[in-house]
Order: sequence, then structure tokens, then C-alpha cells
Amino acid sequence: MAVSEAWLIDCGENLQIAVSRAEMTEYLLSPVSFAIPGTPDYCSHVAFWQNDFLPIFDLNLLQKKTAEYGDHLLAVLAFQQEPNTPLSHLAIALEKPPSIISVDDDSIIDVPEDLADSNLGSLILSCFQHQDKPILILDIAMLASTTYRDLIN
Amino acid sequence: MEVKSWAMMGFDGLALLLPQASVSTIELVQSVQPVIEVHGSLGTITTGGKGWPVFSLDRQLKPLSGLADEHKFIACLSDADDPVFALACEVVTTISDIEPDAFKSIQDCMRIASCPVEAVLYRDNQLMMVSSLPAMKQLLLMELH
Repeated sequence: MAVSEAWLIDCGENLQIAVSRAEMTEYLLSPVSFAIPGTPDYCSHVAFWQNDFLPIFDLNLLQKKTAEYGDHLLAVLAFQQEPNTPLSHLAIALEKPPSIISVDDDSIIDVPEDLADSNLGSLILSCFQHQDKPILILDIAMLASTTYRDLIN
Repeated sequence: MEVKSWAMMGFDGLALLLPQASVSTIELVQSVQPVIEVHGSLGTITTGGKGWPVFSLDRQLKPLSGLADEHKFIACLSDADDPVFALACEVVTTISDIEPDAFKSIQDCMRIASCPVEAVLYRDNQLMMVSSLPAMKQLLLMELH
């Protein structure tokens, strides 16, 4: 049984994802964010970070489209759009501070139907159970891609 | 960004930058005539023998259904010398001393058809939205039809 560590990210409304330690670049406790008009509800703000502006993804809004973006903690995640390309970054809105958890191969479960059928469905790489809750592993590069943008807009 | 000079327009706290070359003239809001020749416009402004349909926007860049007391100026926008449309705004000023690397692009994942914002500029303690005349024209066409 292989065991690895991951960051657990709580996006609110019982939506939790896990990212690898390498993906989690920074946790922003007091982010400075700005609204950008005309952008998708789930990605309507940018955060100032390292002299640049990162798109902020609210996965809960992406899944349910039931509320407006509010003030959040942020996780800055690194990803590569293509192999052998420089790292890119985006921010994910958090409901509460992230934590490190242990994940073992035996905890893998099928993706719950409501999540598989949501806008998140095409992003889900895998799913495991932690403390009786499904935890999603998402394709972060896909989330930031124009392919995904065009798929759901 | 090769544009040297920008027109900064204010809408309910939102700062929008368009290339200064797009602005033919700036008029006072009192010059707007209640003549609706273009669907969704709030009136018409005529100057120099040319007419512009007047629109205004909220801070989400959505067209408003009327002029507000805060609207003081009309920026008449043209493509070459051809009038395109005019925007009623609270403030309009020129900015010309922007370093090219001060502009930050909006990532493509945020840019859907309804988003006219092409880049942003942090200046004077606010984030300004950088757009273009074609992008703003496309926005109005989408919102009003």
C-alpha cells in the first residue's frame, strides 16, 4: 500500500480537493483581489501576486453557480500547460486554511455522480475518501485552459 | 502595448482605459440630444457635423438604461474619422506616461466573449481595465442584441 502526502483544500459547501505538495506554491491569508468585468462568475477576480495578477477560481461557484464571489483565502497553485514549459500559476478560493493529509491507494473511490455530472466533471482525474468525504484530484492545467473555458461557457 | 497615450474613463468607480487615438472629442453631458437612432442608446450627440449614439456603462461594464447625475462628460469614439459610439462617464482624463511593462495581460481562461478587458494596469491605487474600441463595440453589440 503506497502512502503519499497531499494538501487538502476546502472550497466550501462540502467541496474538497487535494493537490500535491509540489503544486501548492503559496497560501495567501490576506490576498488583494480585484474584480474584472465580463469574466465568468467562477473566475471573475484576479489576485495580485509576485508583480502579476493571477486568475482566482471559485470551484464552488463553478460547481453550483449559486452565489457571488466573496472574500476568500487563496491557494496559489503551480502547473504546466504543456510539458517542458515554464510553470504557470493560478489561485483557488478557500473556505478555510489548507492542511496536509496522508492518502493511500486503498482510499480511491468512484467519483460521486453529482460531482461527475457537474462542471467539475471534465476536470476530475481521480477521487479518494478522507474522513468519510469524497476528495477530488483535479487537472489544474485543464482548469486554466481555453479548452475548458470554451467547454463550459 | 504600442499605444502611447490613453483615455481613462470612470464609471461608478471603474476605470476604463482606451487608446487616446480612439477619442475624437469630449463633450459635456448637457449636449446629449434625446434622439434615439441606435437601439439601446441613451441619445445622440452631434458635433462637427457628425453624430454619435450615446451609451453608458455600470462598473460591470453593462449598459445602463439612462444617464445618471454623476455622468458629466461624453467621450466620442471614432474609428479613423468615422463615429462609432460615445460613452457617458463621470470622469475622463489622459494618461501618457505608462511604462509598457506596467500592463499585465488577463489570462485567456478569463476571457470570454463578454469580456472586453484585454489587460489591466495598477496605477493610483486602483486597477484600471484596458480595452480597445473593437472590443467595446463587440461588448455593446452583445449586450444590446
